Amino acid sequence: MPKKLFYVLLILPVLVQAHEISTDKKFTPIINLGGRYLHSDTVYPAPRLANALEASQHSAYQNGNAFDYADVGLQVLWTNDITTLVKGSYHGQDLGNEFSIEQAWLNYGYDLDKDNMLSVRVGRQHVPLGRQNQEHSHNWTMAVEPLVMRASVGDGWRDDGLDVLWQHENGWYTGLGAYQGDSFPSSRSAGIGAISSRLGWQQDNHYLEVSIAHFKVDGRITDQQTSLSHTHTQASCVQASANVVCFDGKSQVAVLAGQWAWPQYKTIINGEAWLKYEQGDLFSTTALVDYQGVVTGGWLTADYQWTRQLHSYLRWETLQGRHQLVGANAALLAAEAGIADSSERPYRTGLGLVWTGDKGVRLSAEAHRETINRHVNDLFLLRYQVALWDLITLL
Amino acid sequence: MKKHLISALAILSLNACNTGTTTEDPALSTSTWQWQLPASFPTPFVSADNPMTADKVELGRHLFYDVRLSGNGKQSCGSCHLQEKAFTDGLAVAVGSTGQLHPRNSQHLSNVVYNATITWANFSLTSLERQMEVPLFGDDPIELGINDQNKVEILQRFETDKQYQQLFNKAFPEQNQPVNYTNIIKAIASFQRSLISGNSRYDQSLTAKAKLTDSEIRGKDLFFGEKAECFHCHGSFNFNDQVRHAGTRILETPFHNTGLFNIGGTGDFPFPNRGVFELSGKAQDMGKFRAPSLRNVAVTAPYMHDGSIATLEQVLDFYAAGGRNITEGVHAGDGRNNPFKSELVTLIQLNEQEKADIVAFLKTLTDDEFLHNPKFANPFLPQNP
Repeated sequence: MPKKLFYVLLILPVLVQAHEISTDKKFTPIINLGGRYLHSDTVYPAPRLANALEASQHSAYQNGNAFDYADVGLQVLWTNDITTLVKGSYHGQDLGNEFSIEQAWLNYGYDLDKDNMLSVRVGRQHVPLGRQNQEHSHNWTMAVEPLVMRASVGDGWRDDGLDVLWQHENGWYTGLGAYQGDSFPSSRSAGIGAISSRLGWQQDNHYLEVSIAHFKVDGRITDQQTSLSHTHTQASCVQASANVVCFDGKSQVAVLAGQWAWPQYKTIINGEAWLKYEQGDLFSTTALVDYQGVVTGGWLTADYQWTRQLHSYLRWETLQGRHQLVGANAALLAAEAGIADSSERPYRTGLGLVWTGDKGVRLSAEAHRETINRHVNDLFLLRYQVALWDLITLL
Repeated sequence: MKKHLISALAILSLNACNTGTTTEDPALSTSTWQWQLPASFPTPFVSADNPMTADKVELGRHLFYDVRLSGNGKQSCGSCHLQEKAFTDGLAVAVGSTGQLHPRNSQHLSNVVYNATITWANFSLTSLERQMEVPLFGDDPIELGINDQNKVEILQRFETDKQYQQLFNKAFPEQNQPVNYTNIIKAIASFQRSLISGNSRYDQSLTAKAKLTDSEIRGKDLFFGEKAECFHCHGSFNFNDQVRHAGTRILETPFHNTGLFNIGGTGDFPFPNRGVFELSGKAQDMGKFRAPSLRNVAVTAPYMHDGSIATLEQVLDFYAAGGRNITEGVHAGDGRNNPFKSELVTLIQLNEQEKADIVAFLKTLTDDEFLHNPKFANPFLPQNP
């Protein structure tokens, strides 16, 4: 027992990975803890991507050890068909020391026949737009968010809404969703603000999926909003005020995600290619101009499994942006919006190592070299994660 | 299948589109005029009924400097607006063509195209064309002194001049009889709009073409900081707070009482220099004047609407004190306690070094190229044909 207690104390300052859990238990509590160590030569995350009309990025993370998050939640299997999950997270200083309900949904699965299944998920959920966005960032293989994902959906698109998914036994699936759309690249407004759809093909070792989303943007601040922290909501910006640039129009995001695995070589290659197109008005007190912008990019990850518990990852990613502004003071507005000089392509290469223990413990280390806004930065991130409930039950 | 998948991902990731930002500003360049602006300057607003043309600007330059555009042939616009003084005259108050004193100090014309209102305290004068009627035709005070008795004769001076016939015909090619006061006003307004000043050492420092001294940098930090607070009224690219340009979406036209007077403790300013109050009659408008642009401020002395402060150093002393205390005479009163004074003008603890630093910074706003640009110069002088 003392040994077990020692073990608990040893890994308490760590974090957890589980959110939605594959289980046949009726009640599954979620108690996760996470910590991290960061060393970054310059500011991380970079305050602004010069070639993206982005918003809501956070203030710089502190170097060194820090508490990352604590998740508390409960998943309930009410019947074979109905599952609910409610989970809240308290995030550390990196994300503003605040608590928020990150998932609160009900899932209903219905077998149409022996080959076809329909499922409906309603509530706050990670929206199926690509594969990585469907996972909480705590579960990502690499915690450092891909550049194009940041440029397209900030720190991930999580939203309140309804998602309907049809799946066929042979692997094909398609889905459709409608959401409130109050987060980047949209902004808080009344009614349905975003819709999404996807078509995919899933096999044991590979998948291919195309997903698209359309956002109605009723005025979005394009400035960095550090005070908004991790709320996943985007303040409305329908009137220009001093030192603020707003975008009003429509935003469309398309993602192609794919994976191929070679089990005999213990190797998996996967990746996602993102495209975001925006069209509308860009305005400030200085000007109102017609705006069109395209952001594209993606990442490729190679995963090699050394042992059952140990994986290594190599990821390469890039981002590019093209913007067109037409109207009086277009050049000034481009400068105000931070996109005047978008010819350089940020890119990043990362190497990661993840060890996943049997008792709900995960340790990961990742090192990246990124070139953003012509500055080269080396960063190293160590994460300690523990699924405390799993650990307690095992003890 | 796998080859196609990997290829598709790689191609989309790497080459999905070109990079870069393109901007197109239709107002920046037309077939008849091209603005030459620093990168930090917005595109000027020009009213549709008087579009900029190079020919009109050239005609306006001649008219601006031509003394024949006054009743007695003794003064031109350029008599009170000298280029080397950023188009001020160095006097406390302007002197008209008949010798009558104007109640106010001649304003400089640097970047006048961006002014939301014209003159010191008239919120209704929002175009150079409207404003120009005052010096041309005004009779209290008389400036250029054009009146019903001489206006035909004055026009004839230009109608009979061959050079002006050419200039007018080129500037207004669609008109059969282009020599008239409407066109004179349009041409001079166009010339004034062309007076862009944006190549001072401060501007050059923004693009790393010049380096400010330590004192100038300290002064800049004070100027734009909350200690000296100068930027609240002089913070735009044009160093004022009334700016209108082609992209303006929110037009603000503030006027300020800086505590220059407080006659008898009543808040009064001397008649007829009581600011916006002269037009509105509202007590709260007493002593409110427009904050002028500080571009080229080092060469536009004396300062304030009445030219009552001689030097920049004294201006700094005045603002540091939070107003002016006049201890004797008909204007006696403590302006620091003027009940209508702007809340932005308060006692500021600035030591002598800090004042000197701010003055040093203000001197970096002098644009020597602007002060000596032959395009803006008097064409009747031999060196400026």
